[in-house]
Amino acid sequence: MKKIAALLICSTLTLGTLTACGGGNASSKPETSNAKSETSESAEPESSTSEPASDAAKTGLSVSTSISNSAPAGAEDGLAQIDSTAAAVLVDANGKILDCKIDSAQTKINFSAEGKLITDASTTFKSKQELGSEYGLGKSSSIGKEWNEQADAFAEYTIGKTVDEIKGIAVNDEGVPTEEDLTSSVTIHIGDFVSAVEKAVANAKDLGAKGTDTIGLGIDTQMSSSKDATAEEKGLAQAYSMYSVVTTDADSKITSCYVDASQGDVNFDTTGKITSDLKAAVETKQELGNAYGMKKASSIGKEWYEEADAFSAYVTGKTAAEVGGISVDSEGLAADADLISSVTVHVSPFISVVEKAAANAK
Amino acid sequence: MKLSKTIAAILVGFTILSSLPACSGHTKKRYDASFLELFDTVSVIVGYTENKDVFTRYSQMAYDELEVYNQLFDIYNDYDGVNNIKTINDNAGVKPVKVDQKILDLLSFSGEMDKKTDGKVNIAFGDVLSLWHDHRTAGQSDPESATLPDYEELKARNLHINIDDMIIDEKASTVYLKDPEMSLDVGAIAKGYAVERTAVTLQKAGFANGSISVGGNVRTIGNKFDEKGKEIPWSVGIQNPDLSSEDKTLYILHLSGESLVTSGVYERYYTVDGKQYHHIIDPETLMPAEYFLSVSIICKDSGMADALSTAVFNMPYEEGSKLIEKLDGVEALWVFPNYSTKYSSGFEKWCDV
Repeated sequence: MKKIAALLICSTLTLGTLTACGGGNASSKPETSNAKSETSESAEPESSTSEPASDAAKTGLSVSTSISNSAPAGAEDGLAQIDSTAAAVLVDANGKILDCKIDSAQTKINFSAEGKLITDASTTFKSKQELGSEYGLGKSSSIGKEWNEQADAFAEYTIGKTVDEIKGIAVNDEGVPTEEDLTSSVTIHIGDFVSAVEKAVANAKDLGAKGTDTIGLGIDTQMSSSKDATAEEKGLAQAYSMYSVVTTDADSKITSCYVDASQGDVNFDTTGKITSDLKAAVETKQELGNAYGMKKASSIGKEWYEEADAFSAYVTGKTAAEVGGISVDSEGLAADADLISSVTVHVSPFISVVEKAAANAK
Repeated sequence: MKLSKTIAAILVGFTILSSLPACSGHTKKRYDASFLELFDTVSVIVGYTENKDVFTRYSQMAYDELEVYNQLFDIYNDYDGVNNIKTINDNAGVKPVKVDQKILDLLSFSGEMDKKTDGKVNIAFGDVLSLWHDHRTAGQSDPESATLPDYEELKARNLHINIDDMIIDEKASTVYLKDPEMSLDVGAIAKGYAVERTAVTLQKAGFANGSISVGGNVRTIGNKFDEKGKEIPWSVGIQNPDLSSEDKTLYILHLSGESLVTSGVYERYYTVDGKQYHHIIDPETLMPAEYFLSVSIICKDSGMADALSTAVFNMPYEEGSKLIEKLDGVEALWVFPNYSTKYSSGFEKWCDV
């Protein structure tokens, strides 16, 4: 049973449709200092916040996926390894990063020399942030820091900087940073982080966030579409990841939301040989859906990303708890229709990943 | 079972809306509630009550009631300790399944609708629908290799849709599917039926001025109030199938206790070789019906509106029109593939055409 909490906010939801715009929230926000994290390592230049903090900011998400670490079956089981690095950023009008989160889904699916899946298709995978110390980088890192701690330190470091400044980070031959701010907290090479943040800034859109908001990033990964190879059909190891970035204000209300998904496919045959091009780029559904004029646009259709965007619009203006529960508003009279009779829209796939993102917007 | 979630109340300063003096001398204010987790869609409840606590109680009641139906009518998921439609399907040709009276009531209602529509609402059509469902979900997840179901396989499955093979033992509260290949799919009827039962429950509990929408299956309860506190009908829009149009709605209807349900091609579909295939399958052709972009039905009972909107969607206009004119208190709107519309003889009294 769920308890409902009533929320007393004048809202301007267009009822019954998924096109609610949650922008109209009370503007009597208390001034918060919006502490981004507990670490004392962030060296935010004092002069970087010359604009008023309540200025509109852009929300951006990037996903970069590689399957190049996969290996065919031989003496050992075959491995389909799908690595997706995701960055979420909040950017001001001058391209300065106001908040940043980095996470990664590393999905490992094993298959046999007969082309049979060894990993159970119902497996779900934790992201590296969710794994925390389970990921086990801490043991091998010279500074004893886990992947998630290092990613967080890097994300923290980007705050207050532009992409150009981030790209200027000095690294050694290994791609490991040598700048003083970062050497104590990051020992992994940061090339992937830099390009993820750069791409996220380039993707950033005005979705209703304010400069004082906090960003959250969630990833859900499963492999249920994976299948064994047969004489007629190639086998498939598929990491299906959904990503959500949300920004929340001081009242924990979602001020902007964006959802994307990637399918990292590795095909193999009945001898355990990999038949996919391991160097091929893997595009996200939003990237494919927006690629009008390309061959893929006709087959991908617009349906997925339109539903994702409609869902994002619906949750904007709600708290994380309300996304998963019941939200009650008192409201003015409907401008036109109280409700609209329409055809049903799917929402289930989006709920959990958005709840996850909202929960870690801290 | 999902764990219960307790939501903390957040109080933000807001301007109290001007109270509406209702006819009864009470002052009722307008509230709305929405939730996402049932029937895989958005549910919205709008209502006028004395205060927020009263409204919150009704929306919780609606949620709880809908949650029960959502579990009982589910064909894809198991729930601990619940025998649902999926349980019946899983035991086709195996054994009778003891079920809740709510399932028996739905099955009996479905039988009535099947008769009313000359077999156009057949809940035993599950074996055919599940093949479409599998291809649609695979095609949405991997558009590049999207495929249509094999027509021969559709025809083979169409041999296992005889509703007479569903044996209901009212005394023992059991349902048994004699044909091991058959399966029930109540998708064309379950949402509307659940909305109707929920509306009746809320009314009995004293909810007098409200409307409920589960994924666009709308059921109104009584009237709403205008700024002066005068009772006026609810305004319920019919979605424009042209989603790119500025006009969200084709018509706004004025309803006081009636239901409005729409079936359409534009929300659930997938694309094969550049052509869109939606989710409403014509029992005659075993393919998505191509007569209309959408069909909307107005009548008292939301379950009947839901069933009829699917049935009429699967009939040529003349046949559907005959059926609607034959039924008392039922009106319909057809939107043709070229976006032109036709409506039944009594449709105009519900709106400003």
